[in-house]
Amino acid sequence: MFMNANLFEPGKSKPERVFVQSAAKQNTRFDGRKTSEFRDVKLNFGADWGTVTVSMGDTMVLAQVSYDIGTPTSARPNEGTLHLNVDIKGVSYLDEAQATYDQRSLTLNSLLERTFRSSRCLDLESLCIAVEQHVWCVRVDINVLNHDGNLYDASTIATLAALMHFRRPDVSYIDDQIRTYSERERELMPLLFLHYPVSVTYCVYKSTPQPLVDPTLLEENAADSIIVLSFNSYQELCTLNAGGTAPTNVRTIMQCAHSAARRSKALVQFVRKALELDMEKRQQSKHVAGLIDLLDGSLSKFSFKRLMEQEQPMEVDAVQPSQASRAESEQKPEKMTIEEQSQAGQKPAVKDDSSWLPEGNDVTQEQQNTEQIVKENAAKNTKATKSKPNRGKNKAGKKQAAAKKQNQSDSEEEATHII
Amino acid sequence: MSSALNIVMPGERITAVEDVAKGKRIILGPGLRRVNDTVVASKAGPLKHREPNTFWVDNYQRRYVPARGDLIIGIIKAKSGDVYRVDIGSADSASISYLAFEAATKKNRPDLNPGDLLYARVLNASPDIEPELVCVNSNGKRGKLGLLQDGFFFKCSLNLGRLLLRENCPALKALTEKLPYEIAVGVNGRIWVKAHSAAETVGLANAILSLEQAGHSEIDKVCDNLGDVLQA
Amino acid sequence: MSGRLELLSEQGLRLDGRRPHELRHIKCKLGVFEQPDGSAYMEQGNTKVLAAVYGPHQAKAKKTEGNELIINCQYSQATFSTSERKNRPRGDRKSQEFKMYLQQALSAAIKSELYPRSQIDIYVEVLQADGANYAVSLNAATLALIDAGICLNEFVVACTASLSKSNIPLTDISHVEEVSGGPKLTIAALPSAEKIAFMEMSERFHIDQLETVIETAMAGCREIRDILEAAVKEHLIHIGSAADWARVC
Repeated sequence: MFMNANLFEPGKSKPERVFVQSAAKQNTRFDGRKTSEFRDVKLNFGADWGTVTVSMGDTMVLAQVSYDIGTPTSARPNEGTLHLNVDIKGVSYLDEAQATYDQRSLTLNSLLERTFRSSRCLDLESLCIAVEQHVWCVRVDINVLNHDGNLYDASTIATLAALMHFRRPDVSYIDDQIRTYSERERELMPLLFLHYPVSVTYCVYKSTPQPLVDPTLLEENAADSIIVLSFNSYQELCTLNAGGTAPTNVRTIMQCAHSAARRSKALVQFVRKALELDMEKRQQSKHVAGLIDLLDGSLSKFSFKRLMEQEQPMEVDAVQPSQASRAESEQKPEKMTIEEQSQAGQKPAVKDDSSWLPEGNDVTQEQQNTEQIVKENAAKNTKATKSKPNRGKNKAGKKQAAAKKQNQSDSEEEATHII
Repeated sequence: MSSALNIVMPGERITAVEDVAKGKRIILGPGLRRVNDTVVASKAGPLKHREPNTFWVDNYQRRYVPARGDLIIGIIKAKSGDVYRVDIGSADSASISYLAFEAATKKNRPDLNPGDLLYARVLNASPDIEPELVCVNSNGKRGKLGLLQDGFFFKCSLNLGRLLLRENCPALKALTEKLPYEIAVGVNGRIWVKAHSAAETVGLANAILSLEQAGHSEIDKVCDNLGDVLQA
Repeated sequence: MSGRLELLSEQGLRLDGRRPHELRHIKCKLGVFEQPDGSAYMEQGNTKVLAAVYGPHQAKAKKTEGNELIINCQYSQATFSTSERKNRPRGDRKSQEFKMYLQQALSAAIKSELYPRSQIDIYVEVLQADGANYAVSLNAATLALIDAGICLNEFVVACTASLSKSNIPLTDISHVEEVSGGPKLTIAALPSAEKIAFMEMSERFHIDQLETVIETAMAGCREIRDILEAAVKEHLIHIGSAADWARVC
């Protein structure tokens, strides 16, 4: 799993670079993806509020939100503070470890800073307890656990998910006294957001005008320029960073911007959905996932492909045809090995997912299915569709049939109800 | 070869080897040390034995420690004086003389540049001096050694390298049925492959890398997969 | 977006009286120092920057990897450059970041294939900071490189742009406009080739505005290029006057 644990880094030598350049020209990528195809994003929430791991391929990032009550800065006396820090030392390499600020952690920190802080993603005024005296100081620590390219996206997704997942205790301020309520006394409060930004990364090569999306470490190191764009779900650009030895032109950047905006929207949707499912899970089960569970692959994870593939066909009907074609192409698994791996990975995950659902719940679920059978609703009905893991595409009819069959076996009455 | 899997731990005294040693001279390979009159393991792994008298501990390793006679893939880092500096993935960079190439003379130097890949043999390896490489055999012929052009190279564990280098490696044989390719395997955990097209090379490299986890029994599956990918 | 100031008055003028597309006043001078191989002073409004170039010279041994040219930049701000006196060691995050971005933009401009195994040192000092520090630093560095006689593909110039609340793009933003909370986009471009060497943006605006803002910044770059070109020409005629160049022209 931790393939980069050895001390040399792929993509730094000339032969590798030459090969990646020529492969990029022929639209071939080392892991079999298309130029505009993303790796699957997997999210996992820890037992604590605000603990999230994100993995994209072999890249893995852990984000942890912590909080404290502190004094505000004199410039902004009525605002709480948000502090972000990326720790990349665990996977930095010998030649770079010596520099205090190596390039990579520098750009990463600045990118996160601009994505979440300068764009005012959190409503910091809501974090004020008493003006000029006490405010909440929120701190996000991002640890890079394994580096296989595209740390930018992984860490912005992790940060966003962690902040959205985070809950702080309620406080009251009476007679110069701060009183913090424990979870039992008052419900914990989520942070308030003004918008939800995530980044998308592209690699540009001199050999081809077509930028590669979501680069691996090999592709990233061999790239001539890297473009990082952060968009929020309202299609507002929050951060842009483009630089390297290959000058780009406006057209490439605009092209990247448009696809990044679409991707960001989907990613935010995915994070929301994963959070919803996590909430459900928390209410229902007492199972506590430790750090080890977060890190190894055994725990069920919220996978972008799995969650969104059920979402997208529905969206396609509603929105424009141009998006439809994109969504279609995104879903088609194009390489056998990859598909096989993902399927193998998915099957146990599906089982895990349902295992935390108490058995008694099934009946109510079936009823829900009958009510909103057309509006297929994500993983809630994994139980129903488990027998036929659907591979995207517009299969509403087929799904209906599958669900019907299931129902028939359960209760004759309900089946007739559908018809 | 003894087939029973006998896993030893570092610091474990290995009496089985000592017993053999009483009768005849034995050779201790990597992972085994002699301490006074006892044999002690220094690595964790299965104890291996080859007739008549060789013992070693097989363990999973990524870091290369140069040994005389190893075939390795190195990257040229710099020219200095009459040697090239070569990165072979070991603690120290290795050196190779200008004259260690086929038909090279003082006047007729090989044309190599920093960044080029070299398939070479380790001539000298000792803990105290930097390793020295050659690109010719004792007759002054290059054989299969020398510059590797084009293609793609990647890094893997040392074990995978050795697995591929075994005589009649079933994996490579199975892959030859799928597509024609060239391969150079260095025991320093670097593999260079070249096929007709970039897509084929990528497929091949992925197939080989997947062997890291797969093991022998799944070779057929990997090959089938590769075949499907290449047809698609 | 509470607390964000309106950047344009009703008459369509900016806080310092400029029109939206107007650059600040630019003054520059080449060859201000004796010691370095090339130097330049650049003033854009109240932002004042000094740049010095040493090289190309032989690269330091430990840094050489292959045959590449090493571009070594140093960015620093004088303690008296801002309204608040602050001791800024060169190692702080912001200047390290600027240093990196300068290197990126300059490596796209310098013809590095002509200088194998060499090193060029570029030192940039901001004397007074009044917005667009990076852009002015890069422009000064370009002038210093020209003064040092280093081969460039083209002028690399940088310009900033912003967006007013009513979605009117603004060129070359000052410090007041920077801190008022509007978006800020910095572009380092090769204007003739219409290529972007480096680009950075913070705050937020809608994707539909992106193209116009980029275009505004690019137009600013072209304008700055023309001003710099005139300055270089004048400088050359001046230093060449001893050798009678002026008459040849």
